[in-house]
Amino acid sequence: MKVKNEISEELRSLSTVIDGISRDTPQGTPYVVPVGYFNDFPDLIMRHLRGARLPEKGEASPFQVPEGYFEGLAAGIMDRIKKGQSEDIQGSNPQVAVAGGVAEELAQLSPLLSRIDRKTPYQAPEGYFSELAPILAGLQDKPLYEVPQGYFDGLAGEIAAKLKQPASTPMERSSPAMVERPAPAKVITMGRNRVWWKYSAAAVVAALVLTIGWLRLQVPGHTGNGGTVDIANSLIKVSDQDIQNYPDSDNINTPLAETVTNSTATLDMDDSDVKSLLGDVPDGELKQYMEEHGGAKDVATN
Amino acid sequence: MGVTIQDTELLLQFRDPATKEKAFTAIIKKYQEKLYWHIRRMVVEHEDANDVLQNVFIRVWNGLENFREDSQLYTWLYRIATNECLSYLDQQKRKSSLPLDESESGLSNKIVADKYFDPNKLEWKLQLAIQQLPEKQRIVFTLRYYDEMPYEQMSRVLDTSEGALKASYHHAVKKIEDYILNH
Repeated sequence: MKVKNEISEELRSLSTVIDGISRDTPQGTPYVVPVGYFNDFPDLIMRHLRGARLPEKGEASPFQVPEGYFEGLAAGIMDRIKKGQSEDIQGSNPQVAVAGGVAEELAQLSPLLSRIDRKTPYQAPEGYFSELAPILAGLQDKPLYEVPQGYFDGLAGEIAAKLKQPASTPMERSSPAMVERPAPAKVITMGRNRVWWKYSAAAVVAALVLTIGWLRLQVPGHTGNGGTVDIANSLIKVSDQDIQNYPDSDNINTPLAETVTNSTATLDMDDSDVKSLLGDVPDGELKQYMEEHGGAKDVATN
Repeated sequence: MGVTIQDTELLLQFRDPATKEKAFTAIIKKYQEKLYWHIRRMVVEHEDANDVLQNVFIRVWNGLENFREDSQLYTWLYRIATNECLSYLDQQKRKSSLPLDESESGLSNKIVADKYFDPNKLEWKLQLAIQQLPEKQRIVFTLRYYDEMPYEQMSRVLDTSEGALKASYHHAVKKIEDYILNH
């Protein structure tokens, strides 16, 4: 019931038009079935399966039989049987034909052929079919292949003897059934080539590392003599005022800057302090310095 | 269909030579109508449906001994009936002089030729609409619409996934609706 409701709901959601179509007729379709069809159908099938009994000659029958029905019936049945056998061989499904249907079809296609007797003209030896069945039945028991005499009697002993033979290699020990030692395979070493590749790769990597290191050392600004000289030359171009003002500038936000601002070099100095600091410097050098860096504040000298 | 004996019991009786024919007759009586209508909706004419239905039960007689019972008997019978319908329709197409794409019009002509055909009735229009569908889609629609078969069972009958069947049914409904509204 639940499934039925689900299906009705589904249809209603897909199409109200189709859902609205009446299904009051038997099985929902408007087709009509002949009266009594289903009552007679099982008997019809069972008669077909058992093989319909043909009415005996002269037997009174209340039913009407089409003219010429029995003349073509045997041929029609034989055709159906042969057709069914050939379809079985080909693997297709056997078709049920109404008795005499083949004859009717032939009559429609060619009246001349339908009048010719379809009895096969060949003859089989007398008693052939009655003897055939026992011969065929006997073949089922006959084995197809021949076995040497006494084969099975000695088989168990042969296998036991092979199993008892001692194994000489680990492979044979693990697999005692093996009797023949396999020929040792030729060993081709592949290590030399691999070692050579390893050394080459290591040399390339070392060369790369050294090259990169050397290049970095040559770059200005790095620690080393060359770098220090460049820094000193650059600092000569900077005025003293700028150097003094540097720690106080807004761009400095690092702790180092704080350290610098607190250092001795940036503290305000009076003349006496300057005198004590420059006491050891000769006057000539001081004058030269002042001439080179003109605009510098007069510093008290010795 | 008033048979109440369970299928398993029928199968046991069928396998016993003493009760084989009686069991088979019971099976026919139990399923003949359902199978007939399923076939009739596909082939339209009663005579064709009768031929196909006989074929189906001949096959059932020959194959029931080996029926593995991995599905319901009902599902197995429907599968045989569906395959027989498709084989029959293929045969008709080959015999017919009509091109393959016009073979559906042969079945439509049979509907129109029915003694009780009434073009004004929606039930007849629905039959014509169903014949416009591709064969497999036709089967899916009729199994779902008339036999109210769950998708899970249908997938075993038609050996197709449930998702594909659902999509097929939905497309079929839309196509039929379009046909009915436009004709």
